[in-house]
Amino acid sequence: MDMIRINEEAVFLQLGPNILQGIYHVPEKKCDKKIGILFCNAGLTYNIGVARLYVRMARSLSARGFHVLRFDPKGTGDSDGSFEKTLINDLFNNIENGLFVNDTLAMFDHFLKISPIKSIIIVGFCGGGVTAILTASHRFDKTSGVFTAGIPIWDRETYDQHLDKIMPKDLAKKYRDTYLKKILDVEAWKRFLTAKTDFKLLFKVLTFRTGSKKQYDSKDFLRGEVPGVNNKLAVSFCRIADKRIPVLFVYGTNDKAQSFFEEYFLSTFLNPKGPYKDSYQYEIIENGDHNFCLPDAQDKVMKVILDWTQRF
Amino acid sequence: MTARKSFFFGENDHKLFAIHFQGTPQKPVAVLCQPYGDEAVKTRRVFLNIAKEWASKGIDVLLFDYFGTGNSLGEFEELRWSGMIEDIRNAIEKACSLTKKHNVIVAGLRLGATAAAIVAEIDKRIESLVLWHPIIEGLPYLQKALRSNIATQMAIHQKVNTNITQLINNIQKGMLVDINGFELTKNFFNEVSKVNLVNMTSHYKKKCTIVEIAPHPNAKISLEYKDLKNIYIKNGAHCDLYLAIEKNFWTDLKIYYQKASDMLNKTESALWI
Repeated sequence: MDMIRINEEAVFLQLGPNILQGIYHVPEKKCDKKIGILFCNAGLTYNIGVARLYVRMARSLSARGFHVLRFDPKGTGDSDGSFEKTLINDLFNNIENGLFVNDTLAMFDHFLKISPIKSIIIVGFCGGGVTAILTASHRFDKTSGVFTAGIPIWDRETYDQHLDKIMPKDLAKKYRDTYLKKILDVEAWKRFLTAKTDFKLLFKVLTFRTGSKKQYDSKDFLRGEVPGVNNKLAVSFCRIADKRIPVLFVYGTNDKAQSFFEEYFLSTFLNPKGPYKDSYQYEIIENGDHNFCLPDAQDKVMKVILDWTQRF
Repeated sequence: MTARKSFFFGENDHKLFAIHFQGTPQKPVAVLCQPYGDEAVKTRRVFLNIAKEWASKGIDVLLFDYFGTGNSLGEFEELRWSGMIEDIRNAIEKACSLTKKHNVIVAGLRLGATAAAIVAEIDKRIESLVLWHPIIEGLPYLQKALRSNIATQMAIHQKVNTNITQLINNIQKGMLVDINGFELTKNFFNEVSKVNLVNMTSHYKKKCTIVEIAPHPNAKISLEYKDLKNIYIKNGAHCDLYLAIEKNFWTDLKIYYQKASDMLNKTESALWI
């Protein structure tokens, strides 16, 4: 555990009618790396991250010499602005389609202005990871790396409507095995009979098609022709990979997003023999949940980011 | 547009993060007390909008994070119930010194409301106390919170390995128990489980506004809140009790909750001191 000193200050950025607010962690001069780390907000948990993980990470990274900035895009956390009455699922869909990219680009440029850093590593969990990759694809020259954890690679609208068609095989098997185990479980039947079961998911698991799916390559992604996948994300990744910007993908084994990543990205255009094999790293955290909410998973993901950033 | 400043205040090893929304000289100053654990994360946007709304009416507002929460220093497991109360007192002190005002509104939600009510028993500067859906009894509240640990066990292991009684035993052995990513400690559990707001209210004699939050228009005010109101009145306070129709925005919802308009409407009279 690093000794925590308080060298943090609020940062404000006027963007149109709105003020965006962030927290800037300034490292001690003696260990200053002149590299910035920008944390992208996942949406609901504002600039502190799930269970304050962003705060803990930022303080540890700052103690290792990085300048760190966490901030809230318009309509979230401590920043100005608002959204129309919004379903959370729609908000996530919008984030995954780039809702926060302009604010993140503005904060990226502002970070370079207010600090002595020369380049920035962009970090994001869940939808924040999507924002990180989309943002990096607009700032090749100043991005030195991208760290993502638990990012959803699916297209949320397709996911909601056609899960039975796009569900990864291993995830379908996992769900099916879970339901089978519950056949003799009285509590499970109680939940079923009192309509507490997720019938939508149950139906989709039961109707899942086991036939082989078409294999896609990077050109299909670049043409936006891969159904069920966030093609914008895939295209942005390819762009930053072409520029040799290192990207780290981290997933927990209890995260369904991991199965999607492996089936749609890892086994296709990110395959170990493909053109992008040297552009990314993939880390799996055993028993990690989607948000790395549990303390053990938090400690592990903290270690991963501290180890990975040692290269910079 | 509301002018605001964000800063850290307090002792070196106990710095708290705060945002001050600037009001006008004639109006009072308000201190907002957030709820506990992940409820504070879920309600942050609502609190920010309350602060902005009140500031637009001329009230100076201080929104702060308890030690070990939000952007304040410390780890969450260092959070103490007695510490929350001390932090509210320090926030009132800071709000008064920043604004040179001494007529204070203290408003809190859930366990933050309970802590605010305890502070009102001892801090004479509080002219108006606002309790949004306060926790009356600590133990049932904590037991309910522990259910989320059970839900997590179900999600990960598809079964319950440790029931609520065993979780409480584990807490008493000094183990940390996770509630949606926030770790409940023995110290916090033991302090809060002794809280009974009805029994702890005896000295506050000024304005008090209790707002119960219910999602359905046909809901009725709970007996426990009626009892609390009666205690305040018996003690000599002026106390109003309202029902606000809002979703329980400190829980997981399908909508992104940004404003609690009815809750604020019902609180309007608390601002006139």
